[in-house]
Amino acid sequence: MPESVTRPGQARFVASLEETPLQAVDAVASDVVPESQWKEAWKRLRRSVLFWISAVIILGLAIVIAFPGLFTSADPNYAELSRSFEPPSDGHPFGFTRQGADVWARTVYGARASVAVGVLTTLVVVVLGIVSGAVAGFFGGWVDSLISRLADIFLAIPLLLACIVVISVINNAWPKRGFWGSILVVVLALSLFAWPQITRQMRGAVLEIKSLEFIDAASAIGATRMRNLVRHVVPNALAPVIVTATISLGVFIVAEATLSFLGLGLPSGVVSWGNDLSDAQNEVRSGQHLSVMWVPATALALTVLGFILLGEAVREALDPKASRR
Amino acid sequence: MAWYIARRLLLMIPVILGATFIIYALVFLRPGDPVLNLVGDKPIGPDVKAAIEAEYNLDKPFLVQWLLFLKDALTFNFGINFSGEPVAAEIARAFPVTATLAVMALAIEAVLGIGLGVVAGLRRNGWFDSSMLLVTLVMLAIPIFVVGFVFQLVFGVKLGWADVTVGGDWTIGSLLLPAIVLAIVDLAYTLRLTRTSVAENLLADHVRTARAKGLPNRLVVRNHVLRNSLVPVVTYLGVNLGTLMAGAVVTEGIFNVPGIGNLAFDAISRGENTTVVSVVTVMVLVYALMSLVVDLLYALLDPRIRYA
Repeated sequence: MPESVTRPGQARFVASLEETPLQAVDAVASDVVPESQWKEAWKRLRRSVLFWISAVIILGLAIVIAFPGLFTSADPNYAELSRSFEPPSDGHPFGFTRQGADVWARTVYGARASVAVGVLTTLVVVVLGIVSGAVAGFFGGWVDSLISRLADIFLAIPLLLACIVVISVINNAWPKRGFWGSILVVVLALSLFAWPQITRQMRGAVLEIKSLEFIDAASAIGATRMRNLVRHVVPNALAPVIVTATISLGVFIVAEATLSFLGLGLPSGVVSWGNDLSDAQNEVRSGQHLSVMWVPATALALTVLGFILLGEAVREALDPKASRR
Repeated sequence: MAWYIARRLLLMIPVILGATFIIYALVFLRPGDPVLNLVGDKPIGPDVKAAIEAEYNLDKPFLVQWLLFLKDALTFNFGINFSGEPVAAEIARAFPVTATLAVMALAIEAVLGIGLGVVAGLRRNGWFDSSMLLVTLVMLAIPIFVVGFVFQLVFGVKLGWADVTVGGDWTIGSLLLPAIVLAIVDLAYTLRLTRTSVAENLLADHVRTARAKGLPNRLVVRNHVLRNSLVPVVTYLGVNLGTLMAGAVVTEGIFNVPGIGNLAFDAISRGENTTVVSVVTVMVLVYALMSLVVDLLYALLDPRIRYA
């Protein structure tokens, strides 16, 4: 290290080199890997209020689904006509339905079916959408035309009406199906007409990423097309799809309830919020015994709210520019 | 522009063909004899059955049936329903109701969604914006039929402000309550889209320039922020008219509105295949036409977009 030259008076303002090792301040640590977008997003997510509210709701929901027995000791399928519309009593906080079943127990046990439809439909739609969208966007040409036209066709058919037709077809062909069979049918019907949205979004994102320089760089050092697609393009194009998927999970739960309300969702033997709400129609018309309606409705609304909030929080974490504006 | 419209119209053909094919195939796959759906419980002789099958083209292979349907649909001849009425006449009666309902819902969405969205966007992260975020999230989380029943109970039965059900002789006034219910979910989306769009535009370079040259805030907002922010909102509303018409099944059911949603639902439960396929075809047509209109509107609103 060279001898530091100090002019008269300078010592008062500038610390000597021994005190401030410049090299240490300016050096770039070349061996440190920069944090991935996901790690950074998680850091931002942890600071978001919306995320924690949604986390509490979803965690609570998971506990209710895993251990329904902790929240009620009544059997959701047991009904006694003599207890029809009995007011709340000990162990039965919200009273009884027309058939004399415990309202609270039905709501607690109904969570499983509603959430199963939401989660499974989202999984199917996301897998279908990501694969088809990535293939269409990355390879282009006739594959792109084919997938895009197919997406156009399925998008043009109204979702709710199409699901009604599909389910009524299956209802006739396969009338006796158990719990998971019934769930499967609703999941299939919803996913059959909901995938194009994710496909379109994924295709757009892939088209954008594909033209970036780092993809050329990867090709230049010898990455094959397949490796480029799987390792570089898809992971970087996932962010918008994840946000849409989280929000649509809530939308699918509402869709299941709506289909059940129309009598075409889950069969009436399955305990679900949609079925409870469907049964509650008459009570609402007469304006009496409203707990039959508002207890499952609140549970459903809270659940959907939880997933929409999560989607919002993830959107802000993945796109910090938009939230800081 | 004329070329663009022509190309878009051509692209609509495979969409309409594909969509009708899918619905036709689904209905065709439906087990059970369609002839038995028509005749009900009464036993019929084989010659009568054969005559009915010939009348509805049921004796021909699937693809031929579909092509014959398409051929007739070109001239809006959708066949006859179980009661012997032409399906086209049924649709002609139901379509105006649903169209009116959807346009009313769209108007509510546009006025409230854009109005509140602009205020929320201009005061981003203020108390109004935050409370609007909460309100829209709740609107999205509650199923439309719950909202429908609650509104029907409160405004129809308890307060008596609106008709509880609509029925055959509908008026604009009686459709108001169903229109509000129908509008709620998409109102939430419109509001949030407007809000984001306004908030983004407020930070655009050209807005900063407008402020820098000393333009009063009122003029900046009106001429530079709003005009640009409304482009995505207007296009969203355009596509929405199509989805509103198709999504009216539930609302029409609750308020007993004699529209095409109800028509389709009843036809599905009765197994009246001709009506189901025809109604869905009409809805696909409306959707495809609305997307075309939206694309053209886009070019009108945003002079940067030119279709060659």
